[in-house]
Amino acid sequence: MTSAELKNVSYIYSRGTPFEKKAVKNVSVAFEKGKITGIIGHTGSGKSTLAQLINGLLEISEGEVFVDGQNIWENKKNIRSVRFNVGLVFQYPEYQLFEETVYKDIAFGPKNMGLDEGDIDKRVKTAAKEVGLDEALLDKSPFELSGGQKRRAAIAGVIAMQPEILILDEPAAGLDPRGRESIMKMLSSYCAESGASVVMISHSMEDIAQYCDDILVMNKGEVFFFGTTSEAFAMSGRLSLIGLAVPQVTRVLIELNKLGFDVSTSIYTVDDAVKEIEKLFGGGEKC
Amino acid sequence: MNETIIKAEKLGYTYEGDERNVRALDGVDIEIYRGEFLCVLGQNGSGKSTLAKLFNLILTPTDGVLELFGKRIEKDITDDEIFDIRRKIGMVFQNPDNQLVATIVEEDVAFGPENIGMPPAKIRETVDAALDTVGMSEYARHSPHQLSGGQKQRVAIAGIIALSPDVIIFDESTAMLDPNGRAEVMDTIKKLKNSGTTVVLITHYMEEAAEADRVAVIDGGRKVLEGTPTEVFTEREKLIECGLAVPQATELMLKLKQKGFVDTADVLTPYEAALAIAKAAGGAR
Amino acid sequence: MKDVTLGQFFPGNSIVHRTDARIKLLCVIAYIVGIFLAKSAAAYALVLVATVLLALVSSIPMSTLLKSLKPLTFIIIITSIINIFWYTAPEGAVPLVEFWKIKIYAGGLMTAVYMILRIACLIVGTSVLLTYTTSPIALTDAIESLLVPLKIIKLPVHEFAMMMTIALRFIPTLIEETNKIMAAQKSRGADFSSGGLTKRAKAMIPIIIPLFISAFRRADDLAIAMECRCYRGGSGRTKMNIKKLAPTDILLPLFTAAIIAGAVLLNKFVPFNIV
Repeated sequence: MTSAELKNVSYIYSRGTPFEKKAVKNVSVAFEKGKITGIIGHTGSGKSTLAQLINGLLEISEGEVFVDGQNIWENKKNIRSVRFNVGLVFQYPEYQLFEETVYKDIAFGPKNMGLDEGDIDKRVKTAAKEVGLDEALLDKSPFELSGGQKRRAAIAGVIAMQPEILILDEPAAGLDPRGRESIMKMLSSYCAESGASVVMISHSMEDIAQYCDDILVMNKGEVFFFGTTSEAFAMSGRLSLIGLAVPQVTRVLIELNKLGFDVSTSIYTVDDAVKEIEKLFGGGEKC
Repeated sequence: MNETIIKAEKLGYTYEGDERNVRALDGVDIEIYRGEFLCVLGQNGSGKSTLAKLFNLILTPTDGVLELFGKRIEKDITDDEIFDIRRKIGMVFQNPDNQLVATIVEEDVAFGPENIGMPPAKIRETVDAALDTVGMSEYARHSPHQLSGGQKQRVAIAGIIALSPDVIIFDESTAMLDPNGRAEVMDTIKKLKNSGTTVVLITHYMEEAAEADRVAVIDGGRKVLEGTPTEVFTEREKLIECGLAVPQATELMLKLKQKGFVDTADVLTPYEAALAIAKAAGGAR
Repeated sequence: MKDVTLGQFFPGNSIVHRTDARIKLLCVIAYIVGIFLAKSAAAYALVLVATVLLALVSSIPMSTLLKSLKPLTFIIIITSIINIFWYTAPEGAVPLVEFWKIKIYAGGLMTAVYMILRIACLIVGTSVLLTYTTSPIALTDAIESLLVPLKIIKLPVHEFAMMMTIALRFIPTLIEETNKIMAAQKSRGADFSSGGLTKRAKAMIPIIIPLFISAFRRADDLAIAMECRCYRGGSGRTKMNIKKLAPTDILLPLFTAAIIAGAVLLNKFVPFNIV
């Protein structure tokens, strides 16, 4: 089941001016429900533009976008309701908190959807639980929370709309390793429990390798690669070609390969690498 | 090279709040030597930024001893004394946007020299040299908001270099940048170090710590580890306890060492790891 | 909002662009005096010709200049109506048109035309001389150095200029930030474009609060960063760029002096008026 699908989508910035620039070129991808997709690419590769095309914040120049089987631009007046179905969490989302209490802030989306009090209450509490926010924090001002808690509250505000697809732009930006890990784990379990698609834009190949099922690699506005994580790292050489760093363990294996050892370079976790390297010692051959 | 320029003994700092006080630093001993590249690692809230603020006298210690360039810092330090120390200790912050003052790159770099009353001709020279060091000369007449994050941060660094300090403290200066921006800033830091500037880099990125001469790990307001990057990285359990991570290459080597395949995990880069494995595998065969 | 051209500065290399901002600032004042001195038709013609000449020299497109007048259409219409219909005609003047209670005199028409000319020249002239051809930074510097004498009476001239510079520096950043916050709140279903006035005003809260918080945080950060760069106010500061006057800087003052002199002389010796 796909939640969102893009067909031959292009987007042109400042059309008709001297600054005209094609930010997204002929992109066709589909996001599966219950799966985590990582989007990676350099700054300016079109990743963030892509996210805003899916929820209709930006209007596509060419092609079609389907969310839940519906062409989102078929009826322009309904574009606001599309946004409830495509949850978009921007970079540093904690800078958008504004309400007096965490509860009210999380309720902002559901309230805009026009739900009744009971429904809103249920959604706020579920969302808070999903992101791991203690219920006691709900009555606090969002500005009293710690950095990590603020980030969670902001994500809960989007999750509370119960979107089919949740897109996050660098959800772990600025967090330390422990904070990164806990946000990533939270997203994994949210994806499994809600059955929604989770799409995360990230610069960290290590995070993507560890948590994503599929990878979309963007380069200069075009799809450079779209497939499963292991397929992506099977071509790690091509990834480094466009200047994307592959995980450190993969680099160790690539270096070993260069030194003349016959090891697979499509490995991206430490444990798999240990197994692969063990072969070298257990009668593996050096060519 | 072992001249101590910053020295902290049982250094402590408590933030006084309305409801409760927060003990951010709880007795840290640390020395910084002239010409070295020291990396201070720690998770958010570990007290590492408080340490930086003390070094630059944004804060003054609540207890313990702090000596900057041989001068012991007391509560009653005068503004003139602070001014003199700040000329020697520069600081680059996290958000590049929030440290640029002027609407034109070169005017911003000139801000520091103007403040200390440098003669105009000398400012011109200093600004040009500083922009050259960070590789931003061709953007001298640009407006900061037209630049990428990494470029803005390089301009901010140029603004500090223009004051020719002895030490530059980078307070999480790479945290908000994309990988390219981080690489740009790291290159600049290495260049500064090689030209004799003392560098203190505060971060939670392990790859950056790998580049340092010495690493200190701060957690819960205390120094928990100190040593060369390899010495620190191989303390896997302790790093994880401090909310940090072990670089994958080191993690791999540690696991291989545990299984007895290699006898050292002292590697900093994937290349070094591959070499060590190759050496061991070559010998095993 | 991305296309806001701040201070409406159009970079260029004309003589107007190159003239020292301090000189331009003084010339603008003189030019305004010149406009108000003009009384006779001939003097008005002189001012008009001078303004057109300035615009041509500055190479700012005429269409841009005309556009800058657009917001004033309303004021121009109102003043014209007042001048035309409420003109107190001198004794014995014959109205041009007369119907019902309304009498339109030639004098009234002329005053209206003069008024329009005056406003148009004022706007176009000051734009060409100052805002369109001077970068905001140069303008800030110019204001600071012209106000320096006021330091004697303890006015915080340096601080004022510093505030202007910082504002100019942060306006693009805050505009970008506003766009980002708007996009984020729209993603949560915020609606900024429908409903009545109160509803729309209320809809701005989710933008304004985060924006204010962010602005305060930036201000805090910036203050610390400035202190760390040894800033302690204006005393003891030097400047990298000391503005030296170039020989060509004399041209604009001569030009504006000519306008004033011309206006005065024409008023006196060619007091030609239709009325």
